[in-house]
Amino acid sequence: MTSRKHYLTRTRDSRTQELRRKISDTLLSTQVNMDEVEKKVSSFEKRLEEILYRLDDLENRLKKLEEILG
Amino acid sequence: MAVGIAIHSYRGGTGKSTTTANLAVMLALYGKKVATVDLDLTSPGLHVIYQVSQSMMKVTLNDYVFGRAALEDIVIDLTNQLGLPKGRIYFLGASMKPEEIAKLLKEGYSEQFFREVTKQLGEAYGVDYVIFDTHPGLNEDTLLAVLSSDVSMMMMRMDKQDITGTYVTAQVLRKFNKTSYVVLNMVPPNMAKAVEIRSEVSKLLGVPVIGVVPFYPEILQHRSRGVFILKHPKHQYTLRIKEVAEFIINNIG
Repeated sequence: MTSRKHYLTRTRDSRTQELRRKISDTLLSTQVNMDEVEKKVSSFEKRLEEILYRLDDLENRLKKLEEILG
Repeated sequence: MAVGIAIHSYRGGTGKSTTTANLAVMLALYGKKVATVDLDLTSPGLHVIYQVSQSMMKVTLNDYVFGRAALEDIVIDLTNQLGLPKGRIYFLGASMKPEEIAKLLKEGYSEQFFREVTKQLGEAYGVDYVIFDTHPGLNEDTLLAVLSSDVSMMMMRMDKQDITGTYVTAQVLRKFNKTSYVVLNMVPPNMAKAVEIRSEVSKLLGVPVIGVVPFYPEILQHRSRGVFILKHPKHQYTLRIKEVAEFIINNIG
């Protein structure tokens, strides 16, 4: 550890103001497409359900196979 | 040079603080020097997991932000307390006093704060990673924290509200060309078994999934009393956190 102490110097920060403005603008423009987002998430959930169904089915088949094999 | 990683999520209760604490310790066990910064101002929780008492936090991050204290005055070295054989863990806690929280929320963090604190932690302590445990949500302050860090790591649970919110967050971050990763947390065990889950979520969000952590009741039973992976080094949870840490070491910084 160095002996010099480190302080945060608060200066007029134009970068932060600019970044905050960009964040605000981006948030406003992104919210416009919520219907499209909902559709994508719903179709993702459907795929997920299919995957889980396949996995369940596979597990059941394995269980049956194990039973048959003793 | 230290790398700043912002851990955030769209919703609360996704396990940000638990992941931050455990991931930081795992990185330390790989010999890394890691600083963890509690930025979840309205519900700080990292100090509970690290078992840092209020008497150890006489000077806080708030004092540093407002120029009342130096970085060296607020950093708590937890390496010995946690009994780490290698690496180092530092903790920077935020004040729990309502007036201090209100002041910080009102005046807000600056992009400069994230840049400076990361740089100074690198200079003063030779830190490799600075992990910011942020406030959840898709709001200006949280996004400022995320965009001012080098890398964003989103925590997501597999429920519709969280998936939708994370999707929107990923879209916003993409507009800023932010390097982002996702960790799926508290995943229902049957879902975690599906190998496709990683690629399906990556495809939906357009962001690499670097970890899938199933729901383990033992984590809940642990009730944030200490760092789980130190008490349960062979638990499946520890192995999942190890996987995320290895990704970070090999790909970030």
